[in-house]
Amino acid sequence: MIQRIYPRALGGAAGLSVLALGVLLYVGIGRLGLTLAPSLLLVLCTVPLYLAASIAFGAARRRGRRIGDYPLSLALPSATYFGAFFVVPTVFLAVFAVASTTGYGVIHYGFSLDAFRTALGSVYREAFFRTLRMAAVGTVLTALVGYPLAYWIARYAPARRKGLLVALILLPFLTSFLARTLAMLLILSDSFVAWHVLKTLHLIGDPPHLADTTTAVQIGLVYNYLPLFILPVFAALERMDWSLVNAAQDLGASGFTAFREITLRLTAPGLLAGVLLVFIPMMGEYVIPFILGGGRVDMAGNLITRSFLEVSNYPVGSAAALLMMGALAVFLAVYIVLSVRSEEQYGA
Amino acid sequence: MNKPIDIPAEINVLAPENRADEIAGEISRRQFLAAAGVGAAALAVPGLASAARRAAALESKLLIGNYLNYAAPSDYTTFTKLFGPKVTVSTYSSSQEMVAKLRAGGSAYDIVVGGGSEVIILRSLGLIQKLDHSKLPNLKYLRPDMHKTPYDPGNVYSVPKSVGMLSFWYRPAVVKERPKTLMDMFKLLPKYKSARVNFLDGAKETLDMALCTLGRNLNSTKPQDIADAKKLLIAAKPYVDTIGGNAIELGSRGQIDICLGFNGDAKVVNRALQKHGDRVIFFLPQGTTEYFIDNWIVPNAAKDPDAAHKWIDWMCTPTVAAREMNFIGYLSPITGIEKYVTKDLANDPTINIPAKDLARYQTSHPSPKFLQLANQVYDAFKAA
Repeated sequence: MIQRIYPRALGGAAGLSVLALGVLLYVGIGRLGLTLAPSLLLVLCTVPLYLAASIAFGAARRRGRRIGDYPLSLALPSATYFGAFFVVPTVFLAVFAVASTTGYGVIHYGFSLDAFRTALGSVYREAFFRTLRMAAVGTVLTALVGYPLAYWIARYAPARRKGLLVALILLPFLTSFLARTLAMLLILSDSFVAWHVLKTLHLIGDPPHLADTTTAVQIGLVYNYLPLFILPVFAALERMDWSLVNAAQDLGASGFTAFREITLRLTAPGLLAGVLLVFIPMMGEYVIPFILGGGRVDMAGNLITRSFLEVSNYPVGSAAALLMMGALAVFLAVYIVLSVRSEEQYGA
Repeated sequence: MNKPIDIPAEINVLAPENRADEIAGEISRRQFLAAAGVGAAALAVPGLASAARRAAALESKLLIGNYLNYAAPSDYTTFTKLFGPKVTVSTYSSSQEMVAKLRAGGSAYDIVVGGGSEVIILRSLGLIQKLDHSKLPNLKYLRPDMHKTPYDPGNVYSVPKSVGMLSFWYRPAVVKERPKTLMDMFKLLPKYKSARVNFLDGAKETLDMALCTLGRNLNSTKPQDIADAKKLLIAAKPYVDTIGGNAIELGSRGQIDICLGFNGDAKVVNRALQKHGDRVIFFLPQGTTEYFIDNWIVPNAAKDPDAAHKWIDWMCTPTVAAREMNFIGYLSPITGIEKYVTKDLANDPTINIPAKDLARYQTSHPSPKFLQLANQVYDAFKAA
């Protein structure tokens, strides 16, 4: 009896905590003067969450004793987090995206696709493809820079130094993201002392005019996301059985063939995870272009930010954000398909 | 002990002008302490006691939203010393950003600084409160024409703070010509490819400027005007290095050669550059351009409205207004500041703009349609 009530109680608690957060948000939203509609929807959207939570817990219990070894209640904190800060805001976005504005941006709730029309317009489309290009180039560069380092640490670095080396890779995270990017601005600017030194030594002519360009943004993207790529790839390489590579070479494979056929394939899941970990945030990046692009390089994130924080056109910002999420979901789907397949093939 | 202490209503002190406020504050606090110190005696001077109580009734803090470098930091600390509330400043980089922050709630500014167009927008959104003129006795120092601004006659919602204008400034060390109109400068941009060019931040201001460059009505929403403005901006984009760079900071380091910006900023930049024998020239365009009156505004969400009123009132004092003007470089609309303002500001036609020039210049009163178009043009300009 107790065992039957327990999951229900947990599900109930999960639902209620989401509901409580909903109410808190409701109070907060009330202050925004957006009228009742989004708040009501918000509360309504917690009901299915509540139901889903209790059903999930009930189902988990019913599926058999063994599942009890993996208590689902451990997922409760993250479920609450995702519910409150992902599901709920997404509902908001959806409500805003189909609303319309009049006058100085006063929101009228209803159903209108105007915002989507604007968000699919040429300016947004171009920004999306520019962002896609920059994120793709950034990801490839990150992989080219990061993979060899991860490879070296995993295969050749002395075992007792590995921890230190990984710590060094994480070192930049000890300073704030903003401070790092601002520091980059100083280094990339023409007045950076190194350019003067190089010029005095007649090694270069004029400073390279890097600051405030797309190139600067690209360099910034790679630098800031490099550790996020190196770590999963290192984890995958660390698990590699290097005797397989030696065996391949003994059997006549060239170094490159052995790498391509064995190392690359076995570390593909880690590589894929690393690629995804840098590609998706790069797509949504807006701070780096804002600082390093001198305000003249707009990525999709900057347009969305501006429509919320400056223009106060919530519908267009929301529509663009949803379209962006949709586009990224495609990449996520590709990742899931690929990773499932490589797991089936190589059991990594 | 019971004998009421005679406290004079007014005390005359011979003191340096720049310390006048501080000393005045010190005296009034002593008067208050003297009054409080004698206990029952304080009741014998009801006027003073109530004044003291009113002073004590100010909130303990004051959150000011302002543009960067648009008030003298020393005045924040002086205000705290004189009246009590601890001043916190939060900055925004464009007028639209300020409006968006107020609309989103969350940031409970007690005061914001905005132009006439922001007064119109915020008022129509119901986000700002009527000012209590009984708490603003120093409004009497406001220039007469500033009592009847077109966007807020009678200063119901706003008290003018500074008057400024938009044009280009450039380093004569780089730019050899002497442009006379905004269009002259646009035409020079391709010639100075390697010059570092900065444009100001904000969709509205950018479209305002483009329309002025073309000599059109600043508030126009005619499709032809907007299309021409967009064309002008996009053609100039390849020569623009930064948009919304910190003009004062970068300019003062000599890192901007041509800047689309405001007169007061150019003044401050010049002061910094002159120490290194460098300078910039800000020019009054012969054609039209935008001039603006920035105001102190109290949002509805203000948590410390009394402190906000006190600040605004204090800012209207001629000595304080002059000190502000000396620091920020923008014309103060307060009368009686002449003898406290430095000569280089008072005699500068780009700051103290002659009436004949002002007559040619326009102010912004954007319609919702205008703002919408401005955002489209700005997005396209940034993407170009």
